[in-house]
Amino acid sequence: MILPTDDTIAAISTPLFPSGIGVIRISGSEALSIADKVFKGKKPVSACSSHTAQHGFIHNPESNERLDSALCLVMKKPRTYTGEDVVELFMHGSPFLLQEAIDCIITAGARQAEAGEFTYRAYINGKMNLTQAESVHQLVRARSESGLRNAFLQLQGSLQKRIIGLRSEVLEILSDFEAEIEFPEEDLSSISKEEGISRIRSLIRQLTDLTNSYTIGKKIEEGVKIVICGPPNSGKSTLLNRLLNEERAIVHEIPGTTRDIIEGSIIIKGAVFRLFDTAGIRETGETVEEEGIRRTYSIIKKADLVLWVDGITDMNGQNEKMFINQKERYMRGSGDKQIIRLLNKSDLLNTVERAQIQKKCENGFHIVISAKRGWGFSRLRQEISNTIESLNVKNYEGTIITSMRQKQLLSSGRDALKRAVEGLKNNIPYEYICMEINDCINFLDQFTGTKSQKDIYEIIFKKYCVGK
Amino acid sequence: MLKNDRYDIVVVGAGHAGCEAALVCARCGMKVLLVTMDKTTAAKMYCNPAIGGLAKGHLVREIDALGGQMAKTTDATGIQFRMLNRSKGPAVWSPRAQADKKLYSQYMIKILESQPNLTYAGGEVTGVVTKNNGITEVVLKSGETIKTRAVIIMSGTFLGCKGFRGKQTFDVGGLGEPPAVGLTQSLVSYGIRYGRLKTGTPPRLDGRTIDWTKFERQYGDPEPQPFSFSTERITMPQISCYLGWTNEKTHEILHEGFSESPLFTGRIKGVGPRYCPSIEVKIEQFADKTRHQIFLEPEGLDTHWIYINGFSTSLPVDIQVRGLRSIPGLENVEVLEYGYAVEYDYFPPDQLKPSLETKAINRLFLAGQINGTSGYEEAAAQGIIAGLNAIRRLKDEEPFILQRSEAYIGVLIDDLITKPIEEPYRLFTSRAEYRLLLRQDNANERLMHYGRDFGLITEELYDKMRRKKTSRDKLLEYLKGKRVQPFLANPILETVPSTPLRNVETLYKLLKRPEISLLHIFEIDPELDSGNNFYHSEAFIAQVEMEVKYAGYIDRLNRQSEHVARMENTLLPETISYKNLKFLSMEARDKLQKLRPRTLGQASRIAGISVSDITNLMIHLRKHFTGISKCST
Repeated sequence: MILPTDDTIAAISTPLFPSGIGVIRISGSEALSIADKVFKGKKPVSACSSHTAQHGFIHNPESNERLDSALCLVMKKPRTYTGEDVVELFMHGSPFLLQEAIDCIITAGARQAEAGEFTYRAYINGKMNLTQAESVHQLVRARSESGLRNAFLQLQGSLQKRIIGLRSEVLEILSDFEAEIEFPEEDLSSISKEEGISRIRSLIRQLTDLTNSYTIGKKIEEGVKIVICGPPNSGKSTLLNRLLNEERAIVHEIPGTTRDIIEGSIIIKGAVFRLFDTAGIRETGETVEEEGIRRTYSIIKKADLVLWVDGITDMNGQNEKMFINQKERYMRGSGDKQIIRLLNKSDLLNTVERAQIQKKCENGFHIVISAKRGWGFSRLRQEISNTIESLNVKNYEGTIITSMRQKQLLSSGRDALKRAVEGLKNNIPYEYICMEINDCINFLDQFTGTKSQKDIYEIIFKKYCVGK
Repeated sequence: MLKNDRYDIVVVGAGHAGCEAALVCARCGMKVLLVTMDKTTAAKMYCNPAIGGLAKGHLVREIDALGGQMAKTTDATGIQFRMLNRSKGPAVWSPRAQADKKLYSQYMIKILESQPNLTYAGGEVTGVVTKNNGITEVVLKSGETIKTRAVIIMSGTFLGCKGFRGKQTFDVGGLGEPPAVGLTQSLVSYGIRYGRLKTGTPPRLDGRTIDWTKFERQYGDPEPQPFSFSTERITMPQISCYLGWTNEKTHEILHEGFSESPLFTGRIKGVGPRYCPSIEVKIEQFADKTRHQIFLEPEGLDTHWIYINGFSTSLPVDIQVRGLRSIPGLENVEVLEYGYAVEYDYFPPDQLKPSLETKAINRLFLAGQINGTSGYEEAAAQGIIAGLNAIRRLKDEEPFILQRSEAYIGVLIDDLITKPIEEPYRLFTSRAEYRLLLRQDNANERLMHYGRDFGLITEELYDKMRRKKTSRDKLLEYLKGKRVQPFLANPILETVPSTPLRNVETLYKLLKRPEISLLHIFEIDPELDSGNNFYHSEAFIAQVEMEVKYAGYIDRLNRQSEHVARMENTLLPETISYKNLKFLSMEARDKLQKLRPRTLGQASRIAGISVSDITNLMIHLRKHFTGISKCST
């Protein structure tokens, strides 16, 4: 991606929900003069000293119509986020007003910023390195505490450190092979084929772990998808509403996509979970509502976790069997997806029956709940939050990658090492093996955005006594 | 004698670099003066009596393909030839030869003295004179001045050269020759920086006092491969070298002298080569090793002088003798010349353009060890390039610059001008990103067309190379097209053994199998083997096999090199001022302003310049310098 960096860009910098305030950011050499065309305060924006704010009004520069009152914050280069002149306009948080204001600013000569472009400019102007820039991008998009924590860790360079550490291990292996090539007369026996294979394999494992961490990084950042399904009238919608209400989450409907699937998000222990309700799966006798099944299949496929809800009162012998079969059918082909099975409507039982069924469920197959009353929800929340940890199969020393670019570079590096192992197994001469290992190093260098500091010769001469 | 003459080019120093430079300039019709301190020793081997080795052997082949002398002289005076690394792939095979030191030098002198346009003379150059920032004269120690249009200085380790042995310090320029003084000061007065480097040499032994039976004999190749593409056959008598080991007793004795070692007492300030440490450094650094390998190499056919490779030292003489005599077979050895260390001036080569012309003085070129390199081959390679570029400079032509992707010489010079010298620079095959493409056996295919264009390679030799290449291309074409029936191939595949065929298969695919060689293919398809002489050459067969078996790797590298070439060849505008480019790191601004690299590729290799600096610079160039030109080469 090479974007132009000599023009002035602008964007709405806060989310487009109705809220108290909304902020528009303008950055570039023309930021001040463009702001002057839309903002009228006591003195012109371009006459304000750096890092000061003044009150005023947003006008449409063409119709001269007043849009909103606003606070204008002027920050002159170089001590700004992007390293360029920056103006931030604090307005009321109406998506409609903000959109209108940005249109005016664009009319006045700015260009709509691409996603991440402010950060890109900060990077171009030497305000941060590549990994930091990516982290900022994540930070902006992170919707949860653990997403934030992960982003901060990256900012502190822990990911960078981990990759640099891996790189030096790869370099060490390369040095051993190179020593064999460069000093044939000195009988160094620096590395055998077998040793090479086993050392490279260990690196492949580490790279694979890091590559896989993207699934977690992505989930932490985007939210874990939970699908609620089960037979009709088992209380799925009540469960959804109870979860959403209890957690005081952001509730919104996504209209248009799938009419009967409702989505909401909840935050448990700082992690985001997105809920999908598969309302309206009905089976009448042997007739199956094809469309409903198809839809449910597709949504289960995308889920990280399935909450399967059965009504407690339906659990007499015959029904139970039928419902189990039904569940099996829905879950077929969905892989090793995690399922939490719930027995709902415990409020319909008397105390004795409840105790009995509780006991029966103690070996963990079901959680007994009442969505109506909110019973059993602390256990349910605990189970849901555990899924994050079980997704996080390994520890990754606290580093998780969170961008597709990072994932691609690491898997390319890993593939190069895999080819090296294949080559060694097939007795391909060392110089070809070195080419693969070098490729891996190049990908790791692209990852960190830096160049090799340490040369292989330093390693070779420290390790081996050469000198004919 | 020289006073009233006016030369096109004065070459200072008749070492390995000087000989190549002087010959190439004279052969291209320039009027050349080669001036050296001692006329009787041209191209002298001051250290080991060998040419070639890993990467260095590649260089010699490349020098030959460009029309240089080193390979031919080695072939004429080499007394043991070996192809190193045969157990590995052909890209890292490397020829190496022991040469008869005296004959090598005499042969070179004969070539120099019979070369038209070339005056070979004794004398010491102590300074240069400039006018309008360009060379006009050189000054000799005698006070004479000589008018010239260009100067190439290649005075080796002779500038400010100081010898060390034990507590002793002495003036030395190689064995028993006076050091060159004055020239460093002259260049420094023009603003050229200099530094100090260190190197060392082992003792020379009297072969008559060695019990050879105690050493392992190391033979040369039964069929010596010549270095030069023009040499048909090696005719010199061939000798053996001998292998032995130091022992704990040796180390103990040498240890006694450590307190007087100029290396350990800090009297030597210059940095020595890590790849060629002295025996005392080896003992100190690898204390757990109970023995170190030594190689006994005869310095010639009719001499008793033996070079003891691996035993470079600057310990006191009595320690050297006692240490040597503790080695089985050397109990009664007599030392003819003791080992010592030398410290010398060099000029950091970041002050050079890729043509090896100094940035400070027009038409002044530097080459060889004074650029901080080590090795005869590295010196010779710079010599021929400096020579060719001096000619082009005088003719006002574009400089001749080899790319990293086409020659080791390109890698060598690009490294010199972009990377800081931290020790005497030696070439390694791993310094070349495109090592797999830069083989010793294809140096002629890569570079001979340049040599021909310069008029240094005969049409006949060039045609021979073309014929061979065409022959190979045709064979590859045939292998790709020719399908073989299972009943024809399987009997032979069985003997290899290799999995039998079920269906028709191309010969090309068969040859791709690791266990199948071209000789097997000749068996499978007997028609193929008739009538082409190349098919019986080992080198030819190796080339074809490699091009088939490793085609995937080669293709990938070729693509990479094309991809890189775009950035590599983006010329940086000469007018650009890096000081004010805020998007560059402070370090990048400083370095770029100081070094002023010629291309974006060179800039990217300067230490301390990051990938983002280069990206940003690229963006900047695109914005402000539209229509940036690409190098023609």
